[in-house]
Amino acid sequence: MARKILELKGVRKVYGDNVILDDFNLSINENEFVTFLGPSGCGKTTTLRIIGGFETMDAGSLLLDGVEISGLPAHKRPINTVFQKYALFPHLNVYDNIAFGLRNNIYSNVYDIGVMNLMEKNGFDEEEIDSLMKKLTMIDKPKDVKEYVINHFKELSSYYQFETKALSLIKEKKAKLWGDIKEEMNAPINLVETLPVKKAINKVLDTLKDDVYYKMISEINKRSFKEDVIKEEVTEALKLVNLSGYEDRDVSQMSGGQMQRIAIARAIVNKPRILLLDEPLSALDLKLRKAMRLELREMQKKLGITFIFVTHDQEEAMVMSDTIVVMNEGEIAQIGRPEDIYNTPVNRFVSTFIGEANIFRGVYPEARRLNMLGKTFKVSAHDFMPNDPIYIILEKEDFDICSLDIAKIKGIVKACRFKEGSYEVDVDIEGKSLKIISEDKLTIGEEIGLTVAPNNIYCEDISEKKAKILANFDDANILEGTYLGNQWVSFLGNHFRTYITTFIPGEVVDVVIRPEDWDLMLEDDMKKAILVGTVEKTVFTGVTFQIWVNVNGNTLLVQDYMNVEVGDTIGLSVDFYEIHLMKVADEEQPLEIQEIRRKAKEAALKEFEEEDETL
Amino acid sequence: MKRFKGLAIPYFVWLVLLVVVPLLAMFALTFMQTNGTNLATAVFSLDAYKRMLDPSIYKALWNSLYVAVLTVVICILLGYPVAYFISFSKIKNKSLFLLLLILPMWSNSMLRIVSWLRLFSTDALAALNLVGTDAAVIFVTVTTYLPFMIFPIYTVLEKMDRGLIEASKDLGVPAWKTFLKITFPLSLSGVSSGTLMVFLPAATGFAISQTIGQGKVRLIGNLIQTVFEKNNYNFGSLLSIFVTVMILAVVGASSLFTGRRKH
Repeated sequence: MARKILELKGVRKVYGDNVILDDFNLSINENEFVTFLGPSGCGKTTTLRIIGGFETMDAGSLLLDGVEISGLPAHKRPINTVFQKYALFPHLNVYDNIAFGLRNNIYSNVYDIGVMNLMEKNGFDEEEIDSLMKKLTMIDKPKDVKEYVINHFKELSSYYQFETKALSLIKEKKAKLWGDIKEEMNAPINLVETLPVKKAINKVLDTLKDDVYYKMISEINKRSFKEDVIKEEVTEALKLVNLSGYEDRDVSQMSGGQMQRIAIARAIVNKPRILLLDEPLSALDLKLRKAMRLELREMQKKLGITFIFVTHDQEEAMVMSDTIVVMNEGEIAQIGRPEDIYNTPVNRFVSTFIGEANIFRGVYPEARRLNMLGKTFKVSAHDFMPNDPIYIILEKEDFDICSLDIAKIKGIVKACRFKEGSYEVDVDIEGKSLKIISEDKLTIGEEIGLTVAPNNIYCEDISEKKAKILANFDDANILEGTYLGNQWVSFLGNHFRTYITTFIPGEVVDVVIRPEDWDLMLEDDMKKAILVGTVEKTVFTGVTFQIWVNVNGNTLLVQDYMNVEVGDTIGLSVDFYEIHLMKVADEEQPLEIQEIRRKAKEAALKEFEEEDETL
Repeated sequence: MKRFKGLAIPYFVWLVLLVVVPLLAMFALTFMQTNGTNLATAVFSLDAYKRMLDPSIYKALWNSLYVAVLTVVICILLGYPVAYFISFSKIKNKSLFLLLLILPMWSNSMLRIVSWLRLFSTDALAALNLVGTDAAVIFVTVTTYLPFMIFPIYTVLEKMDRGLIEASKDLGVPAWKTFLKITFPLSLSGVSSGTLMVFLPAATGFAISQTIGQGKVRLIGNLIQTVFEKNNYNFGSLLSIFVTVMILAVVGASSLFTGRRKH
């Protein structure tokens, strides 16, 4: 069970007589890359703006972590946006643009971040950091974070405790000499009784200065504290978007792609719960767009922030998302994983809309070759095994029109529309429809030849990549397993179905399962469970329970809303599409698998060499 | 563009004949003693420069600066909110509101100045003794030049990307701080061109101070006018050039300021 972060319930939005959204319901999980996909006017941008707080809704509710936020203005929501046209501040340089939120935001977020970093540096344990941070990241967090944090530390600091107690005793007893209050103070050092009381207390306080809380307070009270934290955070954000060293540049001197990165850095530096992206790639050229897709996706996994991405581009949605929300006329047409939406569209709209994307199923027959549309293509990808089935995503712009005699694919022109300076052409290739972009006008019925450059064929296996990313965060369970072939995998002594097809039967794999993806089964349901285990430990995290379950001597981490008692026997199951598989180093494979891999690699290398020779 | 180069020639001739030549002539006049523009009796003299030491000049100059600076400040305080609210309001007929602002400017300015004088002298207002005071001069100067402040500010605000304000709010910054950190800094180029457009006529004009000031408020413009009236073209020329240089300094300083803002 993944944790819900955002819920829209019965949302309605009307402009004049136009109903944009009506009874719109959606829930979004934490740490997910969600894409709103649909044609223009489908309400996707309006939904995004409602979440961001730039539009009000006419009815319904908007819940963040279960708390209603529809009444909060945009600047009070822990949500940041990357705008379509970037909206960088032209009078500020790159550094000041990124620092803008930290410097000026109403909640002085910079203190949370700074205090957290400082606590980590001073060796506080995680539990103590978390308990303080939880109080600071709530929607109703204290207005003056600095003051709150200082008071919090003062209560814990022996320095301040001693000082407060001493001052109140002096006031109470009108003490002039140390002897008057010595008994009650229980000072950590011995002092002569006849010392003046103020001097004595200062002497004691001097010895208490290595108290870690005292150090924290004096650090936070430093004048440069805020700017130091900002500098650290901005530097880190710039590093994340690969723009280190551009701090002093003027934003107007930056290219489109760089402005895009600055806009992302400016948003994420505030550590939002949710990042909204409003068609951020639409202004970039194709090459940059392709690079940014993967970069954004990796950024999302690294940061562990929920991304909500709006686009009308099917390929973009397919490549980037964990979950796609296909929208049409203010309603959700389908929600699902990219593969599900492609394979099993629920209605005609989804199937035609997704069908507009050039997505094909193909096979990788041998090193650096690809079978699709009944033809064999040369590709640059070389990390697949022979006969791996894969998805191929091609851009309309990737096709080159060529003369019929050298053409890889031949097709008949079905339609030709003028669009943004060039022609969008529908081509029919033996029953499969394809969209391409042409510089010249083509006549309907004409037969044309097409080729694709090897570098333009995107056939990275999305599922393998996903497993790798998941394994790197989130206390994911990583288990040893064996791929049985035919979409079956065995681990923990049981056989499971998976959605992955790209391994060799008998190959050793790492199985990755997120804690929230386990389904907990109790009592009667337990018969349906695939695994049975004993509860070792449970921890309440504020919203969900973390449960450690011992199954056949392996400990699994499970996250659920239900609590169970330590020692209980419980059942676990997991949906086939939540079982992710990851490659294991060759040395750990059985010998025959190693042999197959070695041969494949040799073939790929040979292919490279041959190509070099021809070049 | 080359083909149309010839079209600039008339203006260029005009510029040389009516601006450059007269300026040079004025400069030459400052070194002479003449009777009006009669050069027949001209003799070399530094008399005009000696007269520059007269404290009454600096008094007039100080008055001019005082009136102009106060006028500019008041115009910004009054004009900025007007420009801001028209630009950011959701009303459809923004141009109608702007028209209402320009409408008084369509009547003769001298007429308006004299009207104010009459108004100040009516029974109801006469008791306030406004005529001949700095306050009255500044008041009339402000009413005359206020539209020149509103327009450039309005234009800049109107052109400003509203997405920037959304972006600032999105980053957690409340409306008032967004105004201080985004809207205002970005509208400074409008404020500075408005300042120029108000400062220059306010500092150099003489009609308002003469009519409303009744000779009690003497600005540099009044001084130049009097000197020329007395047929002293030499000293008058020097004063005029002096004021021109000062204006250039102000324009230079102001463009330096906006230039730095825009990078």
